[in-house]
Amino acid sequence: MPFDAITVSLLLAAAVRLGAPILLAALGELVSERAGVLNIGLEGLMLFGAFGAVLGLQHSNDPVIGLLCGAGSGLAAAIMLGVAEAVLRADQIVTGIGFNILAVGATSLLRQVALNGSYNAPDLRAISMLRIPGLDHLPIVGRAFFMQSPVLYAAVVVAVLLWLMLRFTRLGLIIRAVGEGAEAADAAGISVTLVRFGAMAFTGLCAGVAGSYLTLVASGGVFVDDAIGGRGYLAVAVVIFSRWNPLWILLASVLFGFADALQYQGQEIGLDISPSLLLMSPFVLALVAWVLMGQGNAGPSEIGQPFVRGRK
Amino acid sequence: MGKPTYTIARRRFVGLSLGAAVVSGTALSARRALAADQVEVAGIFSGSVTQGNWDPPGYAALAKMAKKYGFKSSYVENTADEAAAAVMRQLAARGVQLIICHSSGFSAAIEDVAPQFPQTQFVLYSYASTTGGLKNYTAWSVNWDQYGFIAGATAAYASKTKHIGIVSGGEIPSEKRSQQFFIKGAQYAAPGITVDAVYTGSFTDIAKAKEIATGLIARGADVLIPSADLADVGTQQAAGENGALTLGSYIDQSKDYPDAVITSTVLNFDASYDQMGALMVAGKLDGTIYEEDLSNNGWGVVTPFLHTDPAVQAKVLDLMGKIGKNQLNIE
Repeated sequence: MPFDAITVSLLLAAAVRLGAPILLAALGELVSERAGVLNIGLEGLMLFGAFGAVLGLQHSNDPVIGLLCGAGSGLAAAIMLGVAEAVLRADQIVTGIGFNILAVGATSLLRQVALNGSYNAPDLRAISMLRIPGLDHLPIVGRAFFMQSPVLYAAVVVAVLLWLMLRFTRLGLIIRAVGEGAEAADAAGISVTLVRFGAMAFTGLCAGVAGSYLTLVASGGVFVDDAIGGRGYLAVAVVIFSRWNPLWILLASVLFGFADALQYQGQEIGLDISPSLLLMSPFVLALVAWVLMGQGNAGPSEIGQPFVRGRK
Repeated sequence: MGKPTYTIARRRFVGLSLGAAVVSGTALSARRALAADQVEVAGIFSGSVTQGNWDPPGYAALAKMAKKYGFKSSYVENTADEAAAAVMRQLAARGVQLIICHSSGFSAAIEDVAPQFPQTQFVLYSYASTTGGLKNYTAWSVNWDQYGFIAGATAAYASKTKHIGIVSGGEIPSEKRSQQFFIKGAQYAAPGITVDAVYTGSFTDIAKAKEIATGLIARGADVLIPSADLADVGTQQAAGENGALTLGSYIDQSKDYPDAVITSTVLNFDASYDQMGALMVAGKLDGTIYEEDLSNNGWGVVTPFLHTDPAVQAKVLDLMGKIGKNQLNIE
């Protein structure tokens, strides 16, 4: 099959769609990391969000309420994680991994107790598709950029706002200060614990929306065990790959989505590459990102380190 | 007026106590003897018994069988292939007499564990080419080649564009073989048909399956064959939302996707599990492989077919009849 305009259009649209949950989660993760918290528990936060969204949908039959419930679930889960990591200063890596394992078991149990397995979801178009009149029929880019979920458009706006906030506002300065030098920020009268806790709560909110996107927009209102499938880890990699810049996160998410989409479109158009090799491409990118983490000095210098006053 | 007092002679008290002890002891031993006589059966499932279209009907069939034959039952779900041997050892050591494994992925583990527990019967449901000469390893083996051939032929007969898609899970040997027979069936029914076959790399990722299925439909496929277990939901959703057709797998799924499902290929879980129970009671589980194919109604399709010309159903049933009577070699 030729690599024609339709193929490019489909590939680009799939890249944007598959990158959307990663983008949403990565924007949340960015704020945590900027404040010095390496939130490995992102996968678990997304999972709680995904579950909460379907629970909300089943009880309300309203996708918008489902989305809000998903965001709320992510926030509630992040508060628990924030207490452990920001307030009690537990090891961020160990706690995050433990939290992800807990999330898989807890949401599986909750699914059996609280979700209706034979539930038929209502029309989800209110949150799954928004056509931009006049632009949606543009060749190649119309389908990719102007026929997407309103949640994705909102994420683009949030990315721009985050860039402005981190670069030009006092709040942005405080968050960066806490991530770059918690001791100095503490000496200047900033509550490092409060800032990190707030950053993690924001991460939970974004991760909840990301999980909701996955179950409501991408999976038609169905929650399955371990529904996130590693996307939380990819989002952490995207933040590193983007050198902690929200605008680069927009592009990196599409790049990761592209790698994901290439797996399938490559098979569909008959690329002579083993599907197994194509399937591993997003994770190869993630590996590159993790390696890059040790290079250069673009990252917050205190990332991953619990703040204990007077420890140095 | 004082409260009435009740007295009991010491000798009578001792006598009553001893009597009560003897009666309770007898009742307890009788109950233990009954429990010891009761066969204990356990099911091992690769996924959740409350989710999807493969494990839940298997679990339901296990529960019916246990109730009918008076077995005590339990189950272990979400068992990975590599963990299966440890789970089997634990169950067998606990005294479970019949262990039913509801996935072909557990066959290697059974061959490893069964020789160590000759008093325990191991049963596999799905596919087995051999039971390794073990007398305590019996299998119910679905003829997946026939199953794939008929699914492929059904999709091809129903396709108006003569372009169909297959959305498979992981690129594992059983999936590869299924794809081969989907394609063989499709090409038998419509020589020259275009078949796009894609692996998602996951049996649970609904979003990926849906994305792939949407892409296949955009390329012109008008009938999709789902073959990714739990992730099939994504393929079926995409078909329903984009005006394409699809098939149900293992159980009747026409009610879940009323606008998209032509028919469902259904396995006779209840009959197979019932046969396991009957043979266990009769002491006749002996290492045999019981074939579940079209010659013995081991599986079938739901009729009437929906959303297609009646001729499609007629052609498919005719094909099934020929294969069941060995009038057509699908290899």
